[in-house]
Amino acid sequence: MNLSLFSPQIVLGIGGTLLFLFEAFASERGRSFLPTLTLLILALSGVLMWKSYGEIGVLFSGMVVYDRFFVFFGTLVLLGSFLAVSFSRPSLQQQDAFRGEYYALVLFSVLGMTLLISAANMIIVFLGMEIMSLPLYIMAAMRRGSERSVEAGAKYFLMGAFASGFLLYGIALVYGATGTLSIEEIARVWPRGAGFSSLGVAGMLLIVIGLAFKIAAVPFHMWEPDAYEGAPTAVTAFFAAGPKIAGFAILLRLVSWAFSFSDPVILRIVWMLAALSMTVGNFLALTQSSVKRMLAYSGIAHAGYALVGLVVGGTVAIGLVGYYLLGYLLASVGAFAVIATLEKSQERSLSFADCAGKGKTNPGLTLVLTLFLISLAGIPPVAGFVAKFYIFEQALQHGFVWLVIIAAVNSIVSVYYYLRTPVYAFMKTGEETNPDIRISAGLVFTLVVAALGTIIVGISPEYFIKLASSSVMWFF
Amino acid sequence: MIPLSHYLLLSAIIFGLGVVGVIISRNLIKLLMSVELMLNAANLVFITFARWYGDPGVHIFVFIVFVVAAAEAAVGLSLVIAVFRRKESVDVDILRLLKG
Repeated sequence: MNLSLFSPQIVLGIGGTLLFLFEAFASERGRSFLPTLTLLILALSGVLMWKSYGEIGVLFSGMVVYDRFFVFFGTLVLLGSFLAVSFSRPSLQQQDAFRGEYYALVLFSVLGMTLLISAANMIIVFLGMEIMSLPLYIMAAMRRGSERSVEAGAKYFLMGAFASGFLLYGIALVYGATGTLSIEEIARVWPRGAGFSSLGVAGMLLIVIGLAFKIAAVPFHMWEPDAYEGAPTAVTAFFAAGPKIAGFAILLRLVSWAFSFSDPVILRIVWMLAALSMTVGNFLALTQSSVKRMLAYSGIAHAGYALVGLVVGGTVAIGLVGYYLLGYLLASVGAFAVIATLEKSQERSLSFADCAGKGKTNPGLTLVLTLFLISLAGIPPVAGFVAKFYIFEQALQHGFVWLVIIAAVNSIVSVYYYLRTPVYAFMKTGEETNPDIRISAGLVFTLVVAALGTIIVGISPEYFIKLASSSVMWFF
Repeated sequence: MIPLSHYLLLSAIIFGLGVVGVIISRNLIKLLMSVELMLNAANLVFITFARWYGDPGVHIFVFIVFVVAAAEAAVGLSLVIAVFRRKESVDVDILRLLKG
């Protein structure tokens, strides 16, 4: 066993523990280095992740696997967390939510995500899910003095715990049907009857429901807008970056590998989830007046678009889901970073009316926000458009005409609410200006990387698509 | 010997009670207990099938689930306390600042 293949997770685990200790004993001045230390640990983990790219290793008696899939999705998670952490300090301080524990919790949560992505056994799926989620609940309730923040944490926790109950019961039933917990073994046994037994199908459905909660697919989405709105905005950026991608990664691994060749019932369920998520997410986003909440609902809709790729299946379409998530990650973390800077206080989240006149007072910020929203809306030539276009094209080729029609109508509807913010910012005049908008170096870094990434990933998609599809190659 | 289906039926009933409890109860502590019930129903299935397949390794998973459930209860109860400190109640219906 080559332990160095597991070093990305080891670094995150040890780093998180050390940060907890450091935070307990450090002075006020020492605490201000916590974000930098976190960024260093995340970067180190990323470097170690890429060091053995191309190798395939199964570690700890088949518990954890190191493969290209892990490297690709692990990099997405690390990149998203890196961007969300780098602007976090001034933003959290402004909302009186800067606590040292936050950074240790980020590292533990990312550890859970990387474990989840590299899971080769159902035990690790459950364990990774919990290690990822428990810190998230605490982070949502980070502003203990605020009713909204505490409420967000409580709601997130209740729904998350409920979902893990479904996941665990599903795993138990699948174990009963197959006699094994190893994902590879399940993939072998599944086509030979287990996948068609009522026990197996019920277990698979419960697992899919549990994961649908985590990626916030309708009808399991209720927690997402509340958790996103109530949490401090820098934390919301982290929510949008990490957990959703890790949840998708394990969903892709399970559905396209372990549960492939199964009863078509799974496809029908995912089809329904995709169609519902797109429609409900978009139409609820239309009715919002808060920009943050609008983005939360748009996140639900984006889970729907990405699920279209899962319905289609096959190396190309599943690879495109990875590419899609990359585009979504860059745009949404960037958009939340801008909102965190523009909003005045946590108690009242930024509304469209608050954006009026921002195009004059903060032209730079508004321009990058517009770029991110354009990418989310799927307007050419940026990443969001290319990803959507290719996924819909794949779905058409495989005969999912209705799904593509639903998705296309939704995309058009979504342009209305995405462009509302830029319209308010550039075309209406605001009555008051907010002078104390501070632009920190970390924020500039986040915005530049996210904006450049959105453009580059959109203009030259070939490289990224190739990377994503080569990561899912060995499922098929 | 008690047949396999009895264990599964019992665990399905416990799981169902947990799900119904989460959906209908209005008290945060009761909600937490219902979630624990769901996890324990799954544990029963694991033990049943681990015995059935003669697979001692899976017994360990049950212990892991215990640990996770304990961690979850720690986080959950501290959130309930945080809610109680702000609102002086543990009723679910007071959680309605965020909606729409």
